[in-house]
Amino acid sequence: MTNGITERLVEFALGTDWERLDARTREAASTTTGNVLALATAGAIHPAVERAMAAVGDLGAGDRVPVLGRAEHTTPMWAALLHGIAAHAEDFDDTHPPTVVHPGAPIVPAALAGAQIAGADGRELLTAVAVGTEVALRLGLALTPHAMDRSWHMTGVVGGVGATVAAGRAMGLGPRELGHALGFAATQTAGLLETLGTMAKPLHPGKAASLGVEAALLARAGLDGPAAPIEGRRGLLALLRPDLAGPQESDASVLTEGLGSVWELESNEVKPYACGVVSHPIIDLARELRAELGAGRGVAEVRLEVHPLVPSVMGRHAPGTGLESKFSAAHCFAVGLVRDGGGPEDFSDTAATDPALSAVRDRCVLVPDPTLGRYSVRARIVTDQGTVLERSVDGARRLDTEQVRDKARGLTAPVLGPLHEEFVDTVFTVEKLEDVSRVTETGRAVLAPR
Amino acid sequence: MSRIMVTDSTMRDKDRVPRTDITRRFTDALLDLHHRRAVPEGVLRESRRTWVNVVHTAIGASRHPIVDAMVAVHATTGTGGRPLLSRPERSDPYGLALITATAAHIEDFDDTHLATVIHPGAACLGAALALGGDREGAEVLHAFALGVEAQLRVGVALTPSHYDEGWHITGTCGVIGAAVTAGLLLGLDREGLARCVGLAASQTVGHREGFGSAVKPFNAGKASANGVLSALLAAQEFTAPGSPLEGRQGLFSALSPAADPDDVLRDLGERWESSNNTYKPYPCGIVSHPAIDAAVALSPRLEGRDVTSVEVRCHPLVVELTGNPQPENGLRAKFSTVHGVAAGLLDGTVGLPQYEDARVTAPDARDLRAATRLEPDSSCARDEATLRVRLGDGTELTEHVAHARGSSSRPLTDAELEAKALALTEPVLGGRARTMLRSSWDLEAATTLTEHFAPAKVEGATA
Repeated sequence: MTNGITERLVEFALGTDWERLDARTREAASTTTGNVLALATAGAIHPAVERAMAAVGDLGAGDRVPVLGRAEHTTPMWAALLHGIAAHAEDFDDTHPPTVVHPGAPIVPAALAGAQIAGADGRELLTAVAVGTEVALRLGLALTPHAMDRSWHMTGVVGGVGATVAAGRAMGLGPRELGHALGFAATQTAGLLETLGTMAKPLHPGKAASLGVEAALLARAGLDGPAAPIEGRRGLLALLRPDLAGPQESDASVLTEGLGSVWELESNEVKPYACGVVSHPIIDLARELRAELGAGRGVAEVRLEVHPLVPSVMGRHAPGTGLESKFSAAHCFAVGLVRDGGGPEDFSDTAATDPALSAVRDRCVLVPDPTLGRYSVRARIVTDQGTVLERSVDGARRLDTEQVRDKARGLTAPVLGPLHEEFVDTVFTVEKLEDVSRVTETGRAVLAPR
Repeated sequence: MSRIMVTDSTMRDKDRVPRTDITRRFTDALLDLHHRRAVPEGVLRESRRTWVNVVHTAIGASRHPIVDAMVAVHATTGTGGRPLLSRPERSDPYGLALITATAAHIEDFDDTHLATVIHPGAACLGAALALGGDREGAEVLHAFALGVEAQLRVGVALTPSHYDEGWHITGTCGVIGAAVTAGLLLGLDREGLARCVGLAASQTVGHREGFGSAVKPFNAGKASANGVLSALLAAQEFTAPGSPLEGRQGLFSALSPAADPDDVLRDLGERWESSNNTYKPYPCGIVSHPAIDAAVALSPRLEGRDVTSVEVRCHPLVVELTGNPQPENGLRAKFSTVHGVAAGLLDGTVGLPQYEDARVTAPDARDLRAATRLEPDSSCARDEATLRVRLGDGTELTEHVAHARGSSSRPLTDAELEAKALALTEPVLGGRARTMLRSSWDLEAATTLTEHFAPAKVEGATA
């Protein structure tokens, strides 16, 4: 029987101790946190965040906290929504390659909110991020690839449960309360892949983060949930895996096996490019090609053999907006070849309609090959001089620690000005904080006219 | 143009043109019906009953501990927001929707659209309270009616596998209904209402695992709140997918790939699912109702004599959905037909008092439940039941109910609806209950929704 999964996850979430984590786990939690806090701050001026702020700015009861990168204050629950949207708006956050879950955006804002509500310190915040991410990613493993095949956006589907774990841990919930909170979280699996290319996509981690805060608050206020929200007969696993007829023994063990000793968190990768992750190898390939051919060289034909997921989620061939271009593998190739790029500026509305990029885009053909791994690409390129080249890439590029910090500095400098160095130092060393409000203090927007 | 070469014929690709205009045609039609106030009178008559019923379940549950806890989290301080229904506290549109819709559904006493098992009133009432305060009553009734119709149509298109798989359809469809009501009341234009539904479709809520806990009514509440949030975001031009229901990776693909999203549009404006809404005579799972009718009818014939055993011939769903033989509290008792029967026999009436924890755990209830056996019979209709009671003196009493009160063959009369309503609200509103009841029938005469709910206002400091 699969009883006891929820209980085990609660035990893990509340029993994990920062002091007893090994260096690699702590590093992973720290990197996940710093990257997302920097993105949330940089993303604060994204139109999606502007519009969400206008929609929810007046909502909320109780004490208010600052919104990263902005002048406004909202309640922790609504701040979590805004931070989740901001961190994911550029699709530049993080990915767990086996599941394609982007855990940071739903979980870090929930952990921050929980820590603010309870006055917890930085180590608690990071522990909350660690356990929340771990639960989300393991849930992702149990649901991969089935949930995605059924049109669910993985981050939306698992993010809420992870965010609830994070918020609940940071808020100091007891085991019964956290168990109840998971009942409120699990019932809110949501998020359709149809949203890719619109603002509704980053709404998913925003909703996940805010529902996590809310679930923890409702449980703390005394509401009860079912005993087995994840493993129950009509619970999360059963609903998101309708392919399984009976108890999901073998698949569900991935949720609890090695909990606390083997960390999926450590496989969470910071994104080097601001677009759908399955196209990152395509950008790498294009950039290598550019280096090989020299800048300014063109292509006549580009045939890209890719995993079927690529044309499924990245198949837009004529994106009209920046958000759409992030889900165009052809645009990704063009960005790599023409601009040696991949940052947010290469996926803006202007970039989407740039003739130099669309000229290359139009010459790309995607060919699905189910025998390829998700992050592999085999390319056949005919250059403008008629040379035929065959190149391939397996696996996505990884950023090292310093590159992650450089990314954060590049992102936050325009928004925070001179404060950005201090902010980046702060968010990558959260364990030093006695008071997490330091994060939002240094994350205040420089009030410059836009 | 870059082309996607398809090497596998089963592979779906982005160049093949799927139907992409279903949601848009749906929201355009709903908006048009709203602008022209074109819900037919025959349908509006049922919409008024739906409104009266759910307003009273919401007021009746306004002091439930679950509502208390939600208020503790979401009530605003000071004078911001609007008053919650029959509570001294105030909240913002999100909180108003969440709390009102939760309250409306808490006691399992609201409404049921039998073909889908959706309880549609709650989510749309929440949206109305959230955003309709300043709106004329006639406009609110129309927005409410169209939100109910929208969610029922989505539900009809998705069923039956959707509920069977374990989704709480009141939530999954309620979010669409709440989004429509909210969007209409917010005055969204065609693009706006389309975006609103697009955002709602990606905020699915409701697993049936939550049944028996506060998560069940929360599903209705959160569906309402998500619908309101969708409208607020849509009003700010937050972008959303253009084909959220029918898209290749849209809601139908996720929830019921075998279903046809086009069913949402079928006979829209001619066939009104809203006309098929029914109202619960008892605060528990609907499949219990024929057996409870029988018990209530039989109760006076006991004449105080002891009962030795009770057999309930019933539809097999009674065992599956309400088969709990010994519930340990009031909430769980709503999923126990043997409790409903025992309470009916003992008390001669079944209302909220029969589902209070103290009543459920009382020895007489426990003993009689233990002596009651369910006998599922697939030849028994869903709204039918037969009770056979053996008494201590050897007498056998039988009561057969062909169609339960509240079923489509025997809908509650307006008088029965009013009796139910007053029983719910008199403990909360005292003498003003009758005034609120009269007002609730007359939503269209109200200058504003806030005025409509004036008799339900309770005194108390706004904390």
